[in-house]
Amino acid sequence: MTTRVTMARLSATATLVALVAGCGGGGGGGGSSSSSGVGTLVFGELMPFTGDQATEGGQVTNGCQPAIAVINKAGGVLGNKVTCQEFDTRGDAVDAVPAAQKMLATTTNLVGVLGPSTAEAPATEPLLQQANMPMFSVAGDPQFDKSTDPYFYRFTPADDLAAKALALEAKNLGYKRVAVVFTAGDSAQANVPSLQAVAPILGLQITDALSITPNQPSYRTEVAKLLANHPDVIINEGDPQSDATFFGQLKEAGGNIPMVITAVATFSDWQNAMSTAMGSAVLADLMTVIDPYTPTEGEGWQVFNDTLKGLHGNGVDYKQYNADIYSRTTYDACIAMALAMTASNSIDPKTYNPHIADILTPGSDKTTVHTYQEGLDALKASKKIYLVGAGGELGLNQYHSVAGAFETQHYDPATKALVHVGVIPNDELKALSLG
Amino acid sequence: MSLILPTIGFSLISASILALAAVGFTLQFGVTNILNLAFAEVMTSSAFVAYWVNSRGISIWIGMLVAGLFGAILSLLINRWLYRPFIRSGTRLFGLIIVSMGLALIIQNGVLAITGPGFFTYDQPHGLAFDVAGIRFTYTELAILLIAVVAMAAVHLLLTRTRLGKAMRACSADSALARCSGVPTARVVDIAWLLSGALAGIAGVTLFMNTTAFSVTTSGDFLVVIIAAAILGGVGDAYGAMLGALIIGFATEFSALFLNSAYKTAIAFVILVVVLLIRPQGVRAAFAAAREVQT
Repeated sequence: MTTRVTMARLSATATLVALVAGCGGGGGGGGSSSSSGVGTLVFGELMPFTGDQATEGGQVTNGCQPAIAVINKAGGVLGNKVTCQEFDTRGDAVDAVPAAQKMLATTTNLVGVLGPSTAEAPATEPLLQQANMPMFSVAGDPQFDKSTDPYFYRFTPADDLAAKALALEAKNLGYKRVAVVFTAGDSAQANVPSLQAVAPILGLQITDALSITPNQPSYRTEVAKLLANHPDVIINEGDPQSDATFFGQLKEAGGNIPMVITAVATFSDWQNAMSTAMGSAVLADLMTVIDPYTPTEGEGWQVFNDTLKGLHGNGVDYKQYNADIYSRTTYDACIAMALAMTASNSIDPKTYNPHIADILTPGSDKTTVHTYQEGLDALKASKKIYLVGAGGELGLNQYHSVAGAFETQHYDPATKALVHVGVIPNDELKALSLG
Repeated sequence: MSLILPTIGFSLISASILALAAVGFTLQFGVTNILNLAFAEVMTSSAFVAYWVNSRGISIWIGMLVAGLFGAILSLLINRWLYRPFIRSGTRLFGLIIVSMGLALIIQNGVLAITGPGFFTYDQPHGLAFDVAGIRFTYTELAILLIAVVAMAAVHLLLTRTRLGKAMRACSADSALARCSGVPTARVVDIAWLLSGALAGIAGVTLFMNTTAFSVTTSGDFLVVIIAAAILGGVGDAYGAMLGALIIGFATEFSALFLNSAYKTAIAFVILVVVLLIRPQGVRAAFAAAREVQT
């Protein structure tokens, strides 16, 4: 009897919690009749801040923090201050869904979402769309390449495009036999199908496609299997621990094989682990890094750069993120949202959302602005605006995604940093039709 | 297939690290019946003590001895200052599991606060390799294999050839009866914690040596496999843990060879579930149901 009563109470509590979460689906900003003096507006960072993908959360934070500094310095949005709030998805859908529900249900004046990332986007994007909440995802998953969700935006190239860039670079370096080594998990694995599809087009032979379990004490069997098929080059994405173990054991097994690595290699954590495992000189000799690219120049980037520098410390890392394309485009997302709210004179996401794409689309009748202050001034003068921010010209397509170029980088052991080597233009990648 | 022989070798290395940890884990559990989920953090903290020693220019082998000593003392203190007071106040099996989870978090974050979140490496011999029966082992791997064999032989001799070993086995089988028979159970429990901690320390260092670069979370990821090996062998049975480590070591490496490497941990658990369905008491030991904690 007691058990039944307890179960009934638990069920009632669970139902109540679900109802509260459901009722809060509109977000704090939604439905506000007055847009000024409503309190601090929140950009929700729905990203992994712990676990293997925690670096992605750092990228978003280092875009949001300078953005709110710039916006608040200019007087906020419609007289309201803005802030960033973290909601930790831990990099998987199981934790991401309750994090998204909590964010939507409990955050007063939530006006936009920075995220989700690849691992949790399929599970959380429908929730955010249902709540009419603009989201600026870093998910590379190709399933979002033609998203019809009007609230979904992606300002960095998709993983299928990154995969093409990786394969093209392997070919450009003169290699023919490619081993593909990616850690198991949605984030890394999103690259693999496109890599396997584009390799034959480029005349590359995939000798192995290893999906390795992260954080194992040994990969000796996988290394032996890989070496037995004699690859010329390894294309890789993995977390620091797994890659350090894998490549350290590869080196000990006598396999000093060139590597083409995704943007994970831009993180100092990854570089530290790998240079520890392989030695800085070996890493410099063998590694090429492929990273989404826009030049670090222009007024928009300069303001971002100076602001980030001024905020350095307490979770903001100037050296790591001043050129990071994900941080720069997150910064642009915040500025675009703030200007869209101003243009529509509303903090209601449903009302201001259509203005985001408009602000990011060029036009002959538009004034190009590079900063939030410039945008505010132009809007006050009743001008139409086109934002070219820290990430340069984004070139948003009809699905709110961008194509973009990639850069190749090498590791400099003296400075312990990556140095720019060249650019893979978007045109070359577009030419690689997958049919 | 030419890779089968090397895979046998790599399986032995994986099993060696796992055996050191699983035997340490199960020795303590067998005597005290406390499921110490902070075991992996004892491995981590001890291995970082070895790092501290090693980073001062001292050999990693000396560091390993210091780590074993540190792990032993830390485990003893954990029991005396944490578990024992909880047990005296009436906390039992499930309560102690929660306490051990909390302790694991405290130790992990404590180590993190001291070391920082980066990656570390031991100054250990690299590049030396030896061909043994057609298998190419590194110096480190051979050393790990040797350490595991010596440690397992020592545990075997302790349990079978000494009065202390007999007392430990008596406590593991029936502590109340052992106490009535004049076995100083409190001392035996202390020694079980000491031995468990020493093996945790040594296992932590071998694990970190093998992974090349390590962080404060490296051992934590390994805990589930340690527990799986211990359960597979029969909880509380040191020989069972050795056998469990061998089975899981071979299962994971061979699954990486013949199947997708992504499934290697899952394969280990499929084997665990299948074995427990057929033989709930584990592959060796008597099933340890309805056991009570020992102080």
